[in-house]
Amino acid sequence: MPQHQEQKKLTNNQKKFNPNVAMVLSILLAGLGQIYNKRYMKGISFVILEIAFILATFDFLWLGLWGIITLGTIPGVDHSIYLLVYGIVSLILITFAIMLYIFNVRDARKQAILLNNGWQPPTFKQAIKNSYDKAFPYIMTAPGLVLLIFTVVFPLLFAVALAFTNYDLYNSPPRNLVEWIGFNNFKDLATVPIWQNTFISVFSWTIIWTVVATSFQIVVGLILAVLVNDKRVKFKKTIRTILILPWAVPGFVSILIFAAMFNDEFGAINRDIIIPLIGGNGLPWLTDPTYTKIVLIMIQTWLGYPFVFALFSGVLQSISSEWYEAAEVDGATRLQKFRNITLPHVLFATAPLLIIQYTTNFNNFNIIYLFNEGGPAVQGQNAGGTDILISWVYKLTFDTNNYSMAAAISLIIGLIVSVFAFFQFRRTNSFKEEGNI
Amino acid sequence: MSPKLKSALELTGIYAIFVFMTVIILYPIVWAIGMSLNPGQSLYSSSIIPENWSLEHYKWLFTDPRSNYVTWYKNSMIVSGCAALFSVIMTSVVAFSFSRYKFVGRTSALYTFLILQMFPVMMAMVALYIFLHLVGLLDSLTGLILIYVGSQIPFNAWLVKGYLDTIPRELDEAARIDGAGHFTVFWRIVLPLAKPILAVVALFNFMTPLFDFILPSIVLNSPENYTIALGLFNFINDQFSNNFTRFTAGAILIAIPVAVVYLFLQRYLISGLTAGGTKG
Amino acid sequence: MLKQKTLWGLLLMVAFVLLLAACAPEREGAEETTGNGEEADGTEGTEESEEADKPEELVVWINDEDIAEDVSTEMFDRYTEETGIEISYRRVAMPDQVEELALAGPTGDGPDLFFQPQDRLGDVIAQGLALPINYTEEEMNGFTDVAIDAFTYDGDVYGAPVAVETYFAFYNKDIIESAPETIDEVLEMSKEVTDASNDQYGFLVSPEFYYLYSFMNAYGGYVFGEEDGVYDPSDIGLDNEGAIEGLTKYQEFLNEGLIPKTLTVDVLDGLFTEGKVGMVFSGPWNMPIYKEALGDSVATAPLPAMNGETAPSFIGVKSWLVSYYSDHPEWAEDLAKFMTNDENSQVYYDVTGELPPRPEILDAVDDPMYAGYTEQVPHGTPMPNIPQMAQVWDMDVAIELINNNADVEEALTDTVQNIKDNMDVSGGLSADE
Repeated sequence: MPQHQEQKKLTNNQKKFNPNVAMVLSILLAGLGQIYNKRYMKGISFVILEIAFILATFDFLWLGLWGIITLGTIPGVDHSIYLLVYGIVSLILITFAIMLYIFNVRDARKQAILLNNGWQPPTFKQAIKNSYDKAFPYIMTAPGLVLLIFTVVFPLLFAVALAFTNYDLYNSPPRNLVEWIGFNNFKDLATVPIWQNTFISVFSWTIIWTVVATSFQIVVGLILAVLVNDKRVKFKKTIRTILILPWAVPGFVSILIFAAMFNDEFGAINRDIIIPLIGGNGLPWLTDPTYTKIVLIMIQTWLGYPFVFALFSGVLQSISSEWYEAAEVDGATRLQKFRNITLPHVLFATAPLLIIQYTTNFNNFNIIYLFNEGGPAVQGQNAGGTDILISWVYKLTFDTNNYSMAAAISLIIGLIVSVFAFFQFRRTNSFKEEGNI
Repeated sequence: MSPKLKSALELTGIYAIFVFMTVIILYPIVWAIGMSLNPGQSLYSSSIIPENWSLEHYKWLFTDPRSNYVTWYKNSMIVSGCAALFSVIMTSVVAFSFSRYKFVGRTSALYTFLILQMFPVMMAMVALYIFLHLVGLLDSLTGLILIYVGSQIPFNAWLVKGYLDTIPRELDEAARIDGAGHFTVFWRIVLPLAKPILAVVALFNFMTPLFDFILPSIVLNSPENYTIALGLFNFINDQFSNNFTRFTAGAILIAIPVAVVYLFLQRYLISGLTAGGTKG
Repeated sequence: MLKQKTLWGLLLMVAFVLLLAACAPEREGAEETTGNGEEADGTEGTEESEEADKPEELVVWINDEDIAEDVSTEMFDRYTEETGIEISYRRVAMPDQVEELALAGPTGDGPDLFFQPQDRLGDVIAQGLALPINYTEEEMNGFTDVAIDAFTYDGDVYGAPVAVETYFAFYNKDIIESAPETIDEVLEMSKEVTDASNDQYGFLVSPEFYYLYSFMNAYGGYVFGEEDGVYDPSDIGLDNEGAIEGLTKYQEFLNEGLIPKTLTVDVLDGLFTEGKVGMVFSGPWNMPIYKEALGDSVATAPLPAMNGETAPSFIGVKSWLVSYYSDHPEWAEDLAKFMTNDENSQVYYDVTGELPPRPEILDAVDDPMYAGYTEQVPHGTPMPNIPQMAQVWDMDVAIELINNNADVEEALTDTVQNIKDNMDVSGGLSADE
């Protein structure tokens, strides 16, 4: 733990410590440098930690590292995917260890220099107190960070790794081994016609879907929020409660209910609404891709506007009425007031959350899959007519066991979304620095 | 047209829109309730107003020896409750550090994770499965809870940090001068002021596990460990026998309490979200 | 200076990597798996070690159906009584079993026995998830040939066949007196009976490749070309003239409005049990359900004749398979054989109403409800059991397209081309088998 303090107390005749010696010693074995610096307690605990780490994990790390490089050598005995996972876990553990090691080496060197300059090491109790101050934010974030690494970073690393293997039905353990194949999956995606066609058509629908569905959500939410906020409207609370209701119903339940309602022949929409009102045989909601797309966008609007509505309602209530009064004095029309006061306020304040809405819809697997499983089918591609990238990936993974290609496509999706999100976040105020300790 | 008449017309228009919205919102919900009261199993023969309505599906859920509904309900409450509680603790601690301290990685760490999370890792569920096996938490609610708690951190910590940034620092400084330590400042000063956003975090993290069926389907093996979403999904996912009416009955029983909680917490939800999400 | 450092670092890394690659560590899994991994020494070792490594418990995955649970638990109890081995089971939906086994097997959470139809056998073999079963000549003779053939792959038998399944015609005697004998008669009958606005239909068939293969096969369509019992995945006959002719026949029903275009199995079952349909194609799994709803009004018949002969149907055989990851493969095999012996097959038939592929039992069936079933079986063709079959189910896409008014020939050629492309990109055409 860090305990070097900047406070210098000049005392005479300190024994000289050679920082380089301390450094080399602590490279050889963590803690030796500290012992050399006569920080015995700390040094010994470092030594014990390192030995314990090595003893406890050596076999596992060895297996993991060997595994991730070779992905196994004997079919039937070595399970490539397990080895790959062990390898990634090993790499993460080693990264942790290296970070601590670097800290240890720097600590030994720094302290030796400080001691040479006549710094008086604090007593044990003091040291604890100092390190608590210094390390407080690290201690507080550490458990979260560890969890995060294993729930967010670790699966991501696994997906990245898979994208460079040939893991599919015919290269599956236990019968066969998986192999590293470099960029071949990406090459196939760009050059093999069926992959290429599917990718292009799925990708373009994904973009349209994201933009249109999300924008609808936002516009509907905004209009309703503004209307409810109108001074003349009564029963505001009741109206808000009703409008927020779709949010309170579990999403996957609503989607499945909609899917049943839109069934071409037997669903309520065609039977109870379209046919009695318009006649004919009803509309092909689930069998014509265009209709399915329209319905999907409508349903997503239904599902998604309440969140935006709630958000905007909050912001609208917080806009000071002075703004409007001032505008009225200047003779502004209602439209002008909306455009110049309401809109900027609302959009500026909620920009990051709205961006997240877009990225969520880009990967909105549930609605596409649960509504019509990405269907109806269309010719000339190996994805359904309303499949977005993420639901296509799901099908590749679970229907055709084409894991490595699914991973490659996931990486591409991730890159697109994160680049978009990165630049949008940059444009908003999100990166500004605050904090005082 | 007199301004008064114009205003009245406008107002009528506004109310008309609300009525229209109400119909659109309530229609599917009422329809689902109607479905659940139909006898029989399949969708086609059921109607919104059942000819001979019955509670048989509800009865089945609670009394049939093959029904695990009550167990699923209990499991879901455990998972969601724990996920909500630990998420609030974990998130507020992380957000507090990010809001009040300077340390290595402070500026970009949260955003890095937020962006990393946008990579879809569906096929990597296999990896989580193997990892949970490695640490002995496979087919356990604990493992599931840990994953939920871990993966919610970036977004919620970002939300809470935004809220905490709006709480004046002078308050902590005053407390520090009075001799309060780091933890006291966090516990006594900051947390009580952050209640609205913490309510939001709790709610989000109660709901996500409650309605997720993909992760549990990978992590949980035994039917007695299923959560409610997974159990319900299996009612209609069966290749040969869809049981849509039973599904709606089960879904309504979980949707009603959730909706009540949502509506009850509305006020917090709106104020918390606005303040948290807007400052980022 | 810096460069030199990086160079050294790189060299060190390379050396380390080479070292790692060269020295395989002791795998913890190694001893566990080799014991049952080698198929060859399993045969001789069994007899001697039988008593020695008798397990306390075997794990079985049964299909996620109430009826499967009913019938299996009965047999499990009896097996426990006989051998003292406890059986624990889990309900896992049949289509999910392979995937879950691939995941759970290596961790030891998998079953000893699992349950699959033969059209998934290819997937199972490609991943190496099952062990062959060692049958004696005598045991083999207890099953009908078609069942053993369906589960034979590269000369090894991989399953203990439980039931042979196919679809045939069910008809409602309140609506039609007897089942029409040719497809043209079906069409005529259908025109008479159908009144779509009242949900009244003469004849319904679920728009799935599984059922509609009858139409295609009757006129000369086929899935894979076959020579000496070996399928050739590069020869697909689902877009030849016969297939087109067959589906054009089917399309007539659609065009005349005699079959609703978005029909699903659920809806079909629902309508038939309500007594609103004259005739449907369905399988034994629906026998008890239809019987309960319609009583004596329901009867069965083989499929109507198409192209002059009783139309062929897909035959599926469901089997118990021994998991590759089983710690006690001999005992799992023993249990599988136990559950498919004559006595237990009879139990299976009594409870589920599905026909076990055992001549002994087949001959004894005299229930008139089974007339259609038993008569249809000899006209059936087994579903191919090579892994490439997985892609062939994409034919459902063609059916969906045809249901949406697409041109039959175009739909078939495009879909078959797609299937070939998909086989190619998923490695199915370059795989060495």
